[in-house]
Amino acid sequence: MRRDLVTAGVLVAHEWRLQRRDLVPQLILTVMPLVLMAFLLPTYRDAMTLAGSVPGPGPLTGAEQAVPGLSVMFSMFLVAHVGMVFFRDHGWNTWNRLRATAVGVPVLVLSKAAVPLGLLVAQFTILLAAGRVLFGLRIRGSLVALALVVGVFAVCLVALGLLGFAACRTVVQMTSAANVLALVMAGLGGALVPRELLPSWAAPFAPATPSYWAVSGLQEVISGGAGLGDVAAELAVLAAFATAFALLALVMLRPDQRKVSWS
Amino acid sequence: MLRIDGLSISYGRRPALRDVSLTVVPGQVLGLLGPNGAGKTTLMNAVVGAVRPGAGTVTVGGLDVTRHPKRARAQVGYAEQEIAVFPTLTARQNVNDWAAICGVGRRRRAEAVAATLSALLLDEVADRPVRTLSGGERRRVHCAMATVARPSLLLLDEPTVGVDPATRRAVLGHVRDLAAAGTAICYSTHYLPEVEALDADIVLLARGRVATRGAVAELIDRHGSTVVDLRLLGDDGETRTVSRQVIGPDDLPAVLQGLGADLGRLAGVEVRRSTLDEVFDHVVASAGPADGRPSSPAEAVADAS
Repeated sequence: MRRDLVTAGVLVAHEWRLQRRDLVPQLILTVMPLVLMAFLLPTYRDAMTLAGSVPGPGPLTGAEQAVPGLSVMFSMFLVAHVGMVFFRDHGWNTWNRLRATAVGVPVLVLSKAAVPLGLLVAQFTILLAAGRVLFGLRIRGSLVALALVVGVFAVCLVALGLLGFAACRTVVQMTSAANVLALVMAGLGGALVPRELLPSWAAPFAPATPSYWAVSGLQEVISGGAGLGDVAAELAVLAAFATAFALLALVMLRPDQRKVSWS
Repeated sequence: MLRIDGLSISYGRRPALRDVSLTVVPGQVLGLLGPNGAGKTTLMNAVVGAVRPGAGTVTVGGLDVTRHPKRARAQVGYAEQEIAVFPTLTARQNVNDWAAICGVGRRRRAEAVAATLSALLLDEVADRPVRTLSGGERRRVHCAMATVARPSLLLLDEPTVGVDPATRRAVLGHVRDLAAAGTAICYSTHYLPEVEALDADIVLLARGRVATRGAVAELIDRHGSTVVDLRLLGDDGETRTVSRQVIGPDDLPAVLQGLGADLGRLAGVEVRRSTLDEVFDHVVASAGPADGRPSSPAEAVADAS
């Protein structure tokens, strides 16, 4: 057990060394929502007024929807990045090389996935902090609750990324599916437009997406002043999604299967 | 250090290895020879547990690789035929990170990395990203990653394919040093002079079976013959060599008679023993025609598609 932990630490450091050389995709996926927030804030304010949305005391700014919604949406685009970590190793032939060492598959997969998990949390943290500084977002509820919603949702997205890696044979399949899924889930979950304005055909499907529960949890804390107990349902559902994705990935993962990467 | 007993592996219905048995002891270099598709890569993959035996056992340091895969693999360094490096990292970072992954402690690591880079003549390029290195330099980094942790058993699958003579000498020198230090080495290659230079014991695989085994001299004695090289002068003034197998020097007059009208063109005669190349060709031909069997699951998939 101790040996596994030491190896996991080494692998996380190694993976971070690989990823920190090219953080441009993460940077873009952090800057883009900020640019969109700047443009869409008045539109979101009007839309929320139109929908009769009363997120909390005080005047509406639009940040109540824009910041959590676009943060959730653009975090979902990082799902493809989780899978890329593994497809990249296939392209470099280092996946088989790593598998030929004494490192077990669970330690290998979890260690490699830890870096995208950290990047997802960092993306959320930057977007929420920038939302507060640049767009006047007020967080009325518990920061612990907020951190937990972000953390559990990030784990859910990493599990979804692992499922993408397990299910797809080629990197093109994985990135295409991840991008479509990100848009559909963001739309259905109320990340793109306020849930109250979803088309009537889409509204019933919203709770079937993790993004719905993430947006809901974030808005509960940010606008509704919720504490940990108030977002327990959201956390439980997100944890259930994460477990389901992870279990599916576990069932579908064939560590010895040759995957087709870019190179 | 490595013991393989009755190993048989199939990809689908196609057999890749059939009842293969061999051992490699500490300090020994075993040259694994065979034509493409003979099963060399499959055998190495079986040692690290990447393919499961259909029958037979593989033990590393007394540990069965299917029952104790992690503990068995902890003793193995493996450089696959395909170069597997992290191109965005420097050569030093590749070797250093790999040493850490293989459990080399921080205190011992810097020294091990420096010694390995030096042994493979990588000092000058150690701090350059691997993506900027030449093919030969990349292959040396690839090999360095396999040896830096000083494994008890080292598997090298065609480590000198496509490299220049200087790289080949560096790799062979490093392999000799490791064997002298007690590492058991399984060395697969198509370049037969390499196994002679390593003074390796040879296992020759053909069609998934062990076709023959032994030291180079033994194999030449067992499967070789006396060969007469006849140098004939052509119309263009160039000489060409025609080789004839004979039982012994007493057969020479009959060989010369067989030249007929070409006898007048004879510029020289040399009587010698078969080379390892000729023994290889003879043994492989005796094993039967190639059957297009895949040498790896990837090839099997490619064939199927």
